[in-house]
Amino acid sequence: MISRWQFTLLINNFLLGTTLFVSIQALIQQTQQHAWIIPLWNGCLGLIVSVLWILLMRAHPGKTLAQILQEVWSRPVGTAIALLYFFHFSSIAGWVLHNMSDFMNGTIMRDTPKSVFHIMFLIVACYTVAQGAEGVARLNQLVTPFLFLPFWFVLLLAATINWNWERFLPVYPNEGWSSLFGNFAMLGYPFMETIALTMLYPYVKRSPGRAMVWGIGMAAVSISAILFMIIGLMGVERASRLTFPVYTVVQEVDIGETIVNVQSIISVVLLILIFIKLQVLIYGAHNILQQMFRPKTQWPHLLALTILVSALAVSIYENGVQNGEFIKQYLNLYFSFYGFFLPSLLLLSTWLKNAYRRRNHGNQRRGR
Amino acid sequence: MSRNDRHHVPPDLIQLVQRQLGFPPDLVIRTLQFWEGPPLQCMYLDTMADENAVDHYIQNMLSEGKLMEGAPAEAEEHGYIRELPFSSFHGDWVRHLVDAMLEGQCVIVDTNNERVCFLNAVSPIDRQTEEPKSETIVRGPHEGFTENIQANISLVRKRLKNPCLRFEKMQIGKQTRTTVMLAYLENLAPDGLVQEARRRLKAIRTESVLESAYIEEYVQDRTWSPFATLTNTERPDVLAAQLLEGKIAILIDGSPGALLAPVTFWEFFNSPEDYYQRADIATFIRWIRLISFFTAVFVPSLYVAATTFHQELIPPRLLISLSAQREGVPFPALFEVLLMEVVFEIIREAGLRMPRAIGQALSIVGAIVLGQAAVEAGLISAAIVIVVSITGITNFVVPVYSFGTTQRLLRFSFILLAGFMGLFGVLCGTLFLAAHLVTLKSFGVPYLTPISPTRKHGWKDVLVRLPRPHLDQTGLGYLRKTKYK
Amino acid sequence: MARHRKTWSLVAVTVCLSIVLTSCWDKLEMDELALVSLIGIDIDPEREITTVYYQVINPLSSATTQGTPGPDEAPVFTYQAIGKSFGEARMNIYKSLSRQLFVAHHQAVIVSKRAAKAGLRDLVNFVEMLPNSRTSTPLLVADAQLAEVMYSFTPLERLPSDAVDARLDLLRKNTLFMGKQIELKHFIERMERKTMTVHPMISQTGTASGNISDTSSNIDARQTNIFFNQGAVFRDYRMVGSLTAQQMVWYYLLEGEKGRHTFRMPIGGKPVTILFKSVRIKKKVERSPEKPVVKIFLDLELNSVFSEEHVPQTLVQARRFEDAVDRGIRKELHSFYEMTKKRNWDLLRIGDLLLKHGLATPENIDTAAKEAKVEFYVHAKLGQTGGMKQIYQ
Repeated sequence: MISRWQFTLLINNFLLGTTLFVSIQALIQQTQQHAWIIPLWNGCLGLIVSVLWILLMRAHPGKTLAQILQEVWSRPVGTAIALLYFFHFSSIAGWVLHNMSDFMNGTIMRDTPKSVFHIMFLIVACYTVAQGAEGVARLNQLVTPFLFLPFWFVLLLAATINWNWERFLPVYPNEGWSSLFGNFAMLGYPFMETIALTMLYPYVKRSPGRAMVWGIGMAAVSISAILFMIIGLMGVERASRLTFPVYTVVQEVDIGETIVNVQSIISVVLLILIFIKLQVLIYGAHNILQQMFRPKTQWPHLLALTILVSALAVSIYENGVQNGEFIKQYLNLYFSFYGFFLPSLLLLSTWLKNAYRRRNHGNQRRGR
Repeated sequence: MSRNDRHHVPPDLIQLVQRQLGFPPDLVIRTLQFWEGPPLQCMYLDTMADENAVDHYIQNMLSEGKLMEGAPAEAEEHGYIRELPFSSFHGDWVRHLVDAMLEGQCVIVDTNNERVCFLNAVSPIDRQTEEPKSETIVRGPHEGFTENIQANISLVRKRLKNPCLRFEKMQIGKQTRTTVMLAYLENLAPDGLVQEARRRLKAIRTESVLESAYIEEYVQDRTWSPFATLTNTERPDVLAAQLLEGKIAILIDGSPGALLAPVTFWEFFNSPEDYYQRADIATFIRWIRLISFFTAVFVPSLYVAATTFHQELIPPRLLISLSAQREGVPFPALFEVLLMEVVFEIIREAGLRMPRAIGQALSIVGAIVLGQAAVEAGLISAAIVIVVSITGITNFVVPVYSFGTTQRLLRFSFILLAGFMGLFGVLCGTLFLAAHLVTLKSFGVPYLTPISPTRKHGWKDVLVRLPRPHLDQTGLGYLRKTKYK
Repeated sequence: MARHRKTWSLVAVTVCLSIVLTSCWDKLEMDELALVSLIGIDIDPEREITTVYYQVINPLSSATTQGTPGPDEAPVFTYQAIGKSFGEARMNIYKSLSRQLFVAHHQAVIVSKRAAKAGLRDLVNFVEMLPNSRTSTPLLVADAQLAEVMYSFTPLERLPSDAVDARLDLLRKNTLFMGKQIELKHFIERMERKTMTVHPMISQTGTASGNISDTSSNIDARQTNIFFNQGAVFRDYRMVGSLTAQQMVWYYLLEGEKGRHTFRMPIGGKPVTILFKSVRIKKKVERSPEKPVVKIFLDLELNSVFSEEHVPQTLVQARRFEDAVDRGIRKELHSFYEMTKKRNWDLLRIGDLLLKHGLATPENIDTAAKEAKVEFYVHAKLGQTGGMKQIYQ
């Protein structure tokens, strides 16, 4: 059983996951100095969608997404849609891994083949997932302080040296606020991916709905704060051009002249975030398989999942340019299908079924 | 043989017992002739029984010739001491006598009246109570357990004059038939824990039990884990303190080490001295121990990762100096570190078994050979020696010696990972370790309590040691919340 | 086969683990690294050739357990790479360099004057594109031939990069000859914001010598030394001119840098050396019907420790002293401003100020800056006095 705080932290770290590596440059390029407002705005939208999921989970207490699918839409249809979700989670996991290996290959370890990164992370993730939901949540809770304290310490240190409020002044003062609210760059990724956490929802001891709302709120505020720091430390001109602004910000920090070039440590620390996102997705995928097929031993499925996800990771996109294009043009729609459309259909079916059942029950009682 | 015959004392009992024991040289058979009645045979092993006590008993029988306390009425005319009531004995007389004699009791056989008496004169060879060598402290009691379980129990009882202190006796080990005691405080230890411990002990099927480690390996939660889920101690005050926290203890006859369960990761950094000194210094020393743990496990791997993969982490001046040291050294840094670690382990092992006279010479040789000569010959670089020495010293800071072996195993794995993939490898190893720790349980208690399943009241004694008025006085703490089936 | 499943799976796992035995791809021993301390860039615009100089540290040049180095052991070696672009030059370096380039600890980037005049946008793109490069190192311009600077040693410091770095540090902290924003990343930011910036220029004194014994055995530190005496002015990634040392002082004073400067000026008819320290600067914009007025308020703290010519004895004298300093510095600042206006350089960033207050638009920012009236108000206060209350007459 997972406690409420563990669930909140898990959602927070899941959402932060690869966002710090992938979306920052594009977002600052689009919205310049006001980039830090976008996560808050999209976070609100994400919260509204999450209410949908919470209602769905509350209508079926104690059941995960896969079980709800099977219950509401009959076993064959439910299994088919659950398999769809399984592939969805696996492909996001592959995507996350490719983002990670892109980052590693582009910055600190340039010659290592990508698959080595993928397989090493997958082995550790599968070991943790084999221990169950408790292992996933507790591991996250344990590593979170080691994650946030160094990162924020280094950022704040950089801020004492390098901060400049003038970087927040717009270069061109005539800008429309409407353009900000029409920007949904962050909606699909990462906020719609939180559907993966509904697989862990039933294991939370108390008020998981509130924990989910808190988690999404915390994540939105964190991403916004980090964007704020990056703009203040680096300025829009550089941040909108560099591939990994966080890496560069950290690269330029030095404490006295002794602790220099801490970017290796910080980037490895941030990899923990990616690991947690990967872990939750692997858990979701694995759990769907468990609940659909109920096998006796776990490890064959985990092995097969490792092979599948590592293959997906290598082939999911060719290069950063293609990735950027996909995110800009198709991502919101694609993720909304799984994150919004299907759950709302499910919720609708649940309500209809309940209404039908109540009417039937009423008819029966009246002795028809 | 019929049922009655089982209680029948065979006439050639003495010979049967002698044959069973294989005519050992320390078997003493005395014939006691009284002024009336047939002679009695008195048998004991003089290495296990106290001859003086036996003589004393026999003297009393001869001189007083009157009833002793608690004698049944029919013995009145003979003036003997109590006999064993028949109803409590089922089985083979020979076997029973042999067992009793092996424990050190003296048996007096009256073949004519078919009676056997047992005198408790147990007093095997024993050593003095002295402070255990591996758990010395500056301030506090200096008593330690010995190999005699009766003495150990008395040391515990001396400290816990509590009627709820329970000792459950078991005999484990087919060949050695070692006495094992399960100790707990009935009003404090959770029932589920005690039952679980009892169940696990009773399930042990083994030939021999010579030391607590034998039992530990059967009773522990996970066999293939570098972390011990039971701790051991040779100090009675530590045992008493742990019993007061609601834990169970396993005492083994023939070994001064007692096992304690359940145990959490953070308790390996507790030493009894924390509680015999003031709270502020205790907190500081505890932090030193935690830092030493991380140093001992991570410093060599971080050194390898920094010098082979992430040289930009090293400050510029140091990098130039290290570069200069590495010029001309034939081996890569990973190989050097592994080599030096292995050599250090060899020296440590040799030092354990070295006769005291040669020990001095060996330490000098070790220091000179490893320190100076190898560096000057250009086999290794000087920085490696420093890294390995720091690691070696911090390895022994942890109060529980068996935890040091855990650190060594972890250290080697991390060095290999760092040599393979640098900081990324170390990260993967750390995550794996964290995942392992987080799901490890010791008798139902999660290993990282109270950090991982967060128990706020447990924080008073983990990273800091609050002064005694603020500590959880009733003990239990996390045990209270653990569910046992 | 099925019976020995466990054995076979263990064998399979062991075989898979043999991947660990492959060469670790990113492993680099420290003695395979070429530690770069200084980078020099030269661009020949006619022939379109880029030359990059890497000054590599000789690790055996410092005292180690192997002993101290000999007197003739060169502490650095300079390598040269030529190519049509930076990327090409970077690849061509391996034709002459025997180790892997390691630029993470380099101390400064020096560009030649003609490269600065040709434009540094390509350099900036190259540096930011490389994953391991940092832009947090100072950007300097070489007044002399770049080759001279890169191929010569300096007295006192064995590594020329140390000489450069230490000197920049000292100048930054204690004087107004240098500001804090001389790094490549500040350069990029200023250029992108369409403002101007000044970077220090390195000159060579005496004869450049590539022989360590020349430098270490010569008592005359003027012979083979580098020094900072000018500043290069950049606009839109190009160098458009230079400032003398004195002009740099006024520039940094108006930038708001905190530092001290010794200045000799006539007070009461006699030249007096004063030491002043900048305390605060405030820029205010006043709208007026004809053109906006920019008022710059400067607070200075005076220290008479260097004033060996005159020490004020009474309060009246002190006030006169302060007033004279006020007037003198105001005059200097005004002439500095006129100089920049004449050369069409908005070094005081008036345009930005007007833009911030909405009195100019990005299109007419230059003309608005030129038309604005700038007034200086200097307020000097005598703070610390020296060791003597009265000078010898």
